[in-house]
Amino acid sequence: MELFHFIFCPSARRMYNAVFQILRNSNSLELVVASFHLLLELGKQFPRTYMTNSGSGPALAVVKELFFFCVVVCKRFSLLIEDLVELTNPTDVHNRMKAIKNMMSFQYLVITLEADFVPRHVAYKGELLINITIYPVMVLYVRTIKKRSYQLLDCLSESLDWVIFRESLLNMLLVRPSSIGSRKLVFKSFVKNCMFTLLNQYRQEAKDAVEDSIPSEGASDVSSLNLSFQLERTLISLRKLFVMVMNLDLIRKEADTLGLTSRSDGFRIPIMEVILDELTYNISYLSPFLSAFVEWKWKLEIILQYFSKYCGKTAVRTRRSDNSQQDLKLESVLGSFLTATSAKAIVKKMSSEVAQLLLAHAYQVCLSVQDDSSDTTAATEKIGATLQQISCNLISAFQNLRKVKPNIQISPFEKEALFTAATFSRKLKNQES
Amino acid sequence: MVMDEPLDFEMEQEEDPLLAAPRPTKRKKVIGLDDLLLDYYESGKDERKGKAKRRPIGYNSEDLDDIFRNNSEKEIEICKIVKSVEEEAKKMDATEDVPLWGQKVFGCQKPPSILSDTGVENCHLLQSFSSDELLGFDLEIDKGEGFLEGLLVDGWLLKLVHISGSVEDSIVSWTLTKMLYSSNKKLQVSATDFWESILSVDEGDKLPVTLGCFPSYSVLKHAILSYGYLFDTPDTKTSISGSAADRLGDGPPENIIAWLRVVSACCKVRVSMDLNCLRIVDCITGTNDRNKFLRSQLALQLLKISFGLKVGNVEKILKLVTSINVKDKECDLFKRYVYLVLMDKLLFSTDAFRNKTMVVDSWRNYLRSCSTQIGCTDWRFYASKVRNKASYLLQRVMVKR
Repeated sequence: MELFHFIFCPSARRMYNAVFQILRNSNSLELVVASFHLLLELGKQFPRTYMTNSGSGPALAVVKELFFFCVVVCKRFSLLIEDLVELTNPTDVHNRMKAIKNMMSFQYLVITLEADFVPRHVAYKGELLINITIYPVMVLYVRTIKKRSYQLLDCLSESLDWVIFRESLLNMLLVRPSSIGSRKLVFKSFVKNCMFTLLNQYRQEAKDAVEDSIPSEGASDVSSLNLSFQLERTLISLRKLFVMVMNLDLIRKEADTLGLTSRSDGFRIPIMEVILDELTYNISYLSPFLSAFVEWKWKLEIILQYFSKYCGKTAVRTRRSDNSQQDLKLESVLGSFLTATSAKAIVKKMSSEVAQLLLAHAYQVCLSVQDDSSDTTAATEKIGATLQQISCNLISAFQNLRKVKPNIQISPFEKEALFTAATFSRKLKNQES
Repeated sequence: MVMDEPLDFEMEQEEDPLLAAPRPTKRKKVIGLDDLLLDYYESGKDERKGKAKRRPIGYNSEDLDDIFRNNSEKEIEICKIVKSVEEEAKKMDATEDVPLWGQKVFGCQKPPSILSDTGVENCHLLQSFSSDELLGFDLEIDKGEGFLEGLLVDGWLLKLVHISGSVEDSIVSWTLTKMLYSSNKKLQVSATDFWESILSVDEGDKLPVTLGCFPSYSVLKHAILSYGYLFDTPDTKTSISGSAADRLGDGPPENIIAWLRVVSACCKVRVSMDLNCLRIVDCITGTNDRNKFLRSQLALQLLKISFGLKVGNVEKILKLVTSINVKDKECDLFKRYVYLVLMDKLLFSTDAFRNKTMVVDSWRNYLRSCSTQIGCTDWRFYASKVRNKASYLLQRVMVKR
């Protein structure tokens, strides 16, 4: 309890700030790593948002007063993203250190957002009793400074489902950044920046693989090893952020259809649309992005939506019938490649190389669904056929595409997909007989 | 902000390095809550002395007044606590110094052995796929190892292995070699992902794939030796700042992250609470601080796993261990024996707990009760062993004090 009070005393805030300053400013790797871990530990010890088990079952607790922790890091959100983009293979030690600091700050930011978002998501999915707790002592204490803490209590009268997300850090950051002291964020360019970082890294790796035989000078000193480690972690954080925003968009959409949102919620383009636009206009992004983005549930969604632009049957799309395009299944996508004539019809609209690439990636998603036992029902519905059917159909789709365009290039990735599909269809056939 | 100076927590203006240019001075001076509070007390003190009833304007609620006062009292209390903790920490620093940074643990690295000619292209996976497939595509399988590398890097190999539920030995050893020795970053990472995935157990403690062979101790040891790991390091400190003197290849080996990841994956596979636990801890020989610390930490981890705890400190574990009554008929004395030894290793491998009288005392009391409460006529499995061990450990604790 003493510690609990301690965290509210004014100097706690300054100390927290100071630790964050060390993470941002120190030139010693040791200090940077230590402050990073200290910040993580503080987050664990004093969670802002968490599930509790009160007398009437599990509940979501939000300690509004601890949010100043997050504000410190959220303030720098848009700047952090810009910094991230700059880190293109730093060579000298100074830049490397800077890159490491940026990446660790970004990781910390995503961890902070996640720690706030995930409990809310769990509560939303489980339809738990939502109980917003504010510690009584602190309500009195804070009330004299800000009126904001009342706001939560008012919200209770509305439907709670959307409220828990409206008040989530992530949503505030994206829609009302000023409320937590962040700069205004141009969502589209933010997504583009993130995509650029993902793709850039992938290209870098591809380049390294080619120049594999020539060891670069000083390649194995401490900071470069650390750099590559941090880079890996950062890309994971980046993808986590994407998935979080996609989840938020999905919930927002549900809330929209139920009429739970109001004008004060603002408007933001769904992240999926921004990504699809980018991938449509820059076809060269497609292969690296799909390779880098391994979260298969969302990858399948991206692929299906991409296809739905070209082989969806809904001619008229109104706001209300917007949901119908989600019904496109992988099975029906593959179905439209099953004869040479139907394949030809699609290839008229989209390049056959793109079609091949998307099909190969979609097939990989199918395999991921097979060996991941958790939460597969939704994904299986989207696929809509057994592995054997999909494997056979993939092969014939490729064969038909080649009939349409005999001199078509097949990338190594697609060859591997074909190999895997052929191996499986043979194996599964043997099992049957 | 100059980083060399001690941190000034009382600094009024939070400096933000990213918002480089300072704002124009138009802004009004912000009066913080602390200032208000301070002002209030400065004026309030005088009042209380003179027992005057006058109150400053704006603070007319007595409740509020109490809350503020309580809070500031608490803050003073907390400051005291923090101070005492700091002093304790200083003391601990003097006795227990495990340098975390600046240790030189890797010496000269051996050049990687030749990776080609592994014979993996003859594996069943590639061989079974041949003439009978009339796909009409040239998949370039004849590239052999190159094709397999592609399968690995793009994640197809993992899918193939997962869905078939088994993996050939030749592929197992090939991926292991790639992981430990390949200098191709992408290949290295993919191979590590591959291994991490096939070594991750599900809820039922089952491996997803039947494996013919696990990465053996000798393979892992050979790898770390070839990375130049200095097994018998004396406690010499070399500072990182002297990197100018470092020769090429003196830094940490490239594959060390892969090595660490696979070792930690191996360790997670299955820990059974039997005598092997004790053997693992005893394996760590050496008398320098790092080895002692490692032994203590390993014992802690094993105890944590055994109690099913994700997080837990020594005090919590001690409470759990000592809460079990050995008189209880249901009590598993074999487990007790293991706990006794692990606790001993945890507490007395290092000097960290020697001065913590609370911990040592409660541990001693428990040992005493173990040694006295199990009678000579107790014929339960391991009863006499627990009794003897407890009295032996008890004696040692007494001697050490």
